[in-house]
Amino acid sequence: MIEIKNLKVSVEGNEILKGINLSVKAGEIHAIMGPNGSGKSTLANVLAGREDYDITEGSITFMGNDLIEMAPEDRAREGLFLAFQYPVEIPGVRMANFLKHAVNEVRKYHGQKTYDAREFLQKMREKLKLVEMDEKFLSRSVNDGFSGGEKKRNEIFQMAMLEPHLSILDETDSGLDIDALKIVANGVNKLRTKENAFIVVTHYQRLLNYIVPDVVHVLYQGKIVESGDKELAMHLEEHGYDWVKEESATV
Amino acid sequence: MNAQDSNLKDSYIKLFNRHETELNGSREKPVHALRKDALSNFKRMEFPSTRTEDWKYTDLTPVLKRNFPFQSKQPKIRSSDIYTYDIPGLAENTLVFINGIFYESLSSIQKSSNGIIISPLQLLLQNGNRFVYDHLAKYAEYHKEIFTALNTAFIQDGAFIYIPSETRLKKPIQILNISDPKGMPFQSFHRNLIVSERGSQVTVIERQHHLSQGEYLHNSVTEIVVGDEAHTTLITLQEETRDSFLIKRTQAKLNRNSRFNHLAVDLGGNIVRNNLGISLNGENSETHLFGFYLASGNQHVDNHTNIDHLQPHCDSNELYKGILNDRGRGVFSGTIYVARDAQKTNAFQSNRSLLLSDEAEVDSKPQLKIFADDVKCTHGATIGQIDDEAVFYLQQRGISKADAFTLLRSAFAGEIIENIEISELREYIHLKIKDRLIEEF
Repeated sequence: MIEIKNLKVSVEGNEILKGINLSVKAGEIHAIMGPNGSGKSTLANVLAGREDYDITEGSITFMGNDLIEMAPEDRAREGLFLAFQYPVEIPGVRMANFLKHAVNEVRKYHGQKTYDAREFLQKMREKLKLVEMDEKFLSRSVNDGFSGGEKKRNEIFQMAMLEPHLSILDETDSGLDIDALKIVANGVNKLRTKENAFIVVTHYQRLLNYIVPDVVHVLYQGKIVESGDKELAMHLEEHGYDWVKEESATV
Repeated sequence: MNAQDSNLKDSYIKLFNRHETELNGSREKPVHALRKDALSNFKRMEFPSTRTEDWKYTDLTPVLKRNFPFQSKQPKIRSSDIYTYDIPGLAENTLVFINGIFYESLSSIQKSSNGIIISPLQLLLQNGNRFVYDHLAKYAEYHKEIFTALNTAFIQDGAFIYIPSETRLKKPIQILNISDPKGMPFQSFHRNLIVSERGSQVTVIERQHHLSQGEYLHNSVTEIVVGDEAHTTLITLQEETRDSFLIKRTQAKLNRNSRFNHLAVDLGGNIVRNNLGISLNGENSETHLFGFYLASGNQHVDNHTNIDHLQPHCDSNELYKGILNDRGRGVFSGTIYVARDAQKTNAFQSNRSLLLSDEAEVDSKPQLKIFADDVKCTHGATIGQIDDEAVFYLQQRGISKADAFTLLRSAFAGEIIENIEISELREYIHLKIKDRLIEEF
């Protein structure tokens, strides 16, 4: 699905990612863990196409396309979804209008017919249930005045509507209480198929109790220093990141 | 006063004298005494310059140096010519004015038996209608403001709307003003009067569109009286030519427990000056004022509001927003006056602008004059750009960058436009704004 090779990224001359290699196949869930400042969010944002990052070396191939050359909207239309760490409040744009616009853009891109109002409402109602959100959300402005938990659930709702191939969850667990965390994780698990894939970026292991990863990577100082199965996440939970830092210092 | 302004004054006075000789029988009407009084007030006043405090940011030189002829010609217009401005199902009563002149054949006024009056004003001035003379020129102060004095001296026509007590109109009343200069400059003096008696309810929509290009000056005055417990809403949509000059005075007097809502959308005009005066004259009255404008090219839009809190327990709420591009200029100047007895006043004022070019400019000037001690007053002004984070968020959901910008700009306008309860009108205005945003922003 996605193949990242020797990816090096700088921000204002500072190298943040120092040669990332990562391959995610359809049906897999990869977790990327690491201490603050290790470059986790940079990786998520670079994949989504945010400006302000200089890609100095390496390649990213997504669904057979050169991702680096693609505009953010085309990445989205090709099926790459970023659940934002800080979802943006957009007063004056109603959820229902926003989603209809977005979903129909993606469908047009693939030469599919756009939804009419009734079909679309039905689809939205169905997907709202997945994250236990009320229909009232549809007439509210995007994320405007939403609580932290509502914002994160809204990201998963949008993911459900857009049906992406690859979803990147950037610190989706931050600021969530346990109930909201369960709802979010449950939503993701229901959306999981053999055809799609997830990259879960997180500082803590607790989200991985509910979204069980196939592979766990540890990112430290811009490099993946350790990869393993879900036991690696447990180990990090118990021992923290200090051992990673020590090991990395001795190399 | 400079020579140019004094020449202009002379030409208005000559025009008045010439006009007077043409009036024949109508010289006997009481309106004539009013006209003469307004003219004598005009004579002792001066045209404002940027040295005048209230006109600091709006230079009227381009208007004053033109000396527009007073037009009396009536272009031939058929209903098919203005069909494009029809919003189906919007109103049951529509008064149509072309270049300031009433066109009966294009208007539709329902016969009414329960005392409601919807009529061109001029007709009632000639008939000596008691309700008109009870209220006309009682609120817009022609002895204080030169353009109101001129308007009063030269009153052409406009709408008179009278809603008797306890009468609630379900459908809005529409005033459709069409400019058709066909390249010939002219000036018009439009005058509306809206009187709502106790417990009544009415929505008036005033629209300004144009059929051809050209320069002209509209000097218009609208007076509004809201009776005890009455609700009056006035929504204006302005789409005049980009060479036109528009000077407007809207003056409302609110009585006890009444409410006045006003929403103004300005899309056209070269220099636009909206003077809005609200007098909260009865306890527990409230007013909600919204304004939105687009200024591109060299458009200049100046919203000048004065809210007078004269009685206790009154609320006023103002939100004015604009999107500016190119060399567009916006001015917001809002004065809130709270009289000594007007305790428990709530007054909120906010002015937000979106600047899309380096040359666009906005001046915002709030003024609070508070003489009561138990008062909640806030004001704020913000100037900003489109939020890059929001653009990226929309792009990440598959929306193109260009569409994201349009969506976010429309949303900025949406905060104002969403206050329109009439869905046909709301969607119509949304579309007009969106079209302009796509074309010029």
